[in-house]
Amino acid sequence: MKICINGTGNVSPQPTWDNSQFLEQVQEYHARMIQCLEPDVDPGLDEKYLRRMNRMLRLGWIASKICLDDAGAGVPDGIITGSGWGSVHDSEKFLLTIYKNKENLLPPTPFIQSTHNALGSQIAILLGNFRYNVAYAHASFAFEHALLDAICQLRSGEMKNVLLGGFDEITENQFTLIGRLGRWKNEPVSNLSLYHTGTSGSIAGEGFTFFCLQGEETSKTYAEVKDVMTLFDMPYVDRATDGIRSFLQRNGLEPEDIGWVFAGLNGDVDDDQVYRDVLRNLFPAGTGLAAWKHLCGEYLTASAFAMWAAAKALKAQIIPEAMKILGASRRKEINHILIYNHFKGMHHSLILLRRAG
Amino acid sequence: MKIEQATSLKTEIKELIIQTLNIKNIRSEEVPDNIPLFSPENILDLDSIDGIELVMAIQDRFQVRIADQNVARNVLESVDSIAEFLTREKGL
Repeated sequence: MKICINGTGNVSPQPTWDNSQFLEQVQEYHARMIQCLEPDVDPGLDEKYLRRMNRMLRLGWIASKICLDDAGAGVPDGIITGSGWGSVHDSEKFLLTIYKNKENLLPPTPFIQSTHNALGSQIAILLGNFRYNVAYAHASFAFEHALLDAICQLRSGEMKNVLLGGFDEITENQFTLIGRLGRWKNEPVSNLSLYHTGTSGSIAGEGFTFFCLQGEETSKTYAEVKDVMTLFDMPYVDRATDGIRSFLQRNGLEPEDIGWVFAGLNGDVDDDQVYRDVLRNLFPAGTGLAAWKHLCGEYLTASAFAMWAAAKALKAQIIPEAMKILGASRRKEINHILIYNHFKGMHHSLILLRRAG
Repeated sequence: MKIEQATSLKTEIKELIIQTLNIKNIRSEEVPDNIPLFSPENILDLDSIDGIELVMAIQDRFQVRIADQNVARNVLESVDSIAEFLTREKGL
């Protein structure tokens, strides 16, 4: 069975919510942290709902609505989301109130909205959909595991139409806390020059990306999801290289069959060196290399942004100039895109998309 | 309590409600003094979750304690009842 991407919705620090556009114009930031632009989209909700929704829920709802409208597939059979950090803002608010009020009276709204499944639940309530609803919270693998579940549900025949989402939000506190681990640049940089800084750390980001996955092609189909795989706790370039090779082989492909690799380069010298070593070991000259984290920043489900970009690229048969690191010289058609992401060189993930048709 | 003081307190309460509950498109002047807050007849049309948020906000802003659920139910009946409670508690 084919797993087809038949609708997308993406709210990010770039103007990506309009599906008629594809990164023709990109936003430049001079910052250490970038946040989503507010989409000029009517959320289609009563004021009573909106006033209680935090920013994460509002942006996530808008992304999912854009996706469902794009697919035109009606209410999904299941809602599956992945989020590495979860509902950061309301978790902070809830915990700070516990501290401030000495564990006495606590505000219900941030408590209700403080969990990783808050967005999936909110979408279900707003759609009146009380079927399968699962949230994955496995850090840098959260989106990949959500995708894997969606594929399993479709292939098993349990579902025909899955709403899949990957999202994370960044706040000032979260930025500071993660910054203590040395994850961010020490000084503001231009996101459009991120890969030329030659320094440690990346820029923090966030995004809300949704897909409508179905078991058959429609007139809206963007691309086919061929496979997804995660390599856990593998801090060795040679073993990661072997893992990618075997991933391609199980899909009947060799490295030379891959026209474009979307690599999770993030501007951190050490992280980027792992990508360069692995890709140099594996792929022949002339393989196209594109990156995306300078557009959305680094966050745990950033691979969802990459899957959105890859799906759009396969449908449009265009790699946006804003993403290109190395142009492909071997082939003109874009038939396969491999998305390769890793977390600190330890945990690697692979998503393979194929052109529809 | 003088009439101006009472009006000012009610305005402060209404603005606190609007701000705490993130209510857009309703101005404090539009909020009635005596129509129950949790009634569909009130322009605010609040619910029980709003009620808990309001209890916290009132305690925090005015440095008073709303002892329990029954007290809260009476205090939050309307803008008038909140103002009466605060006047009594704060000795205004």
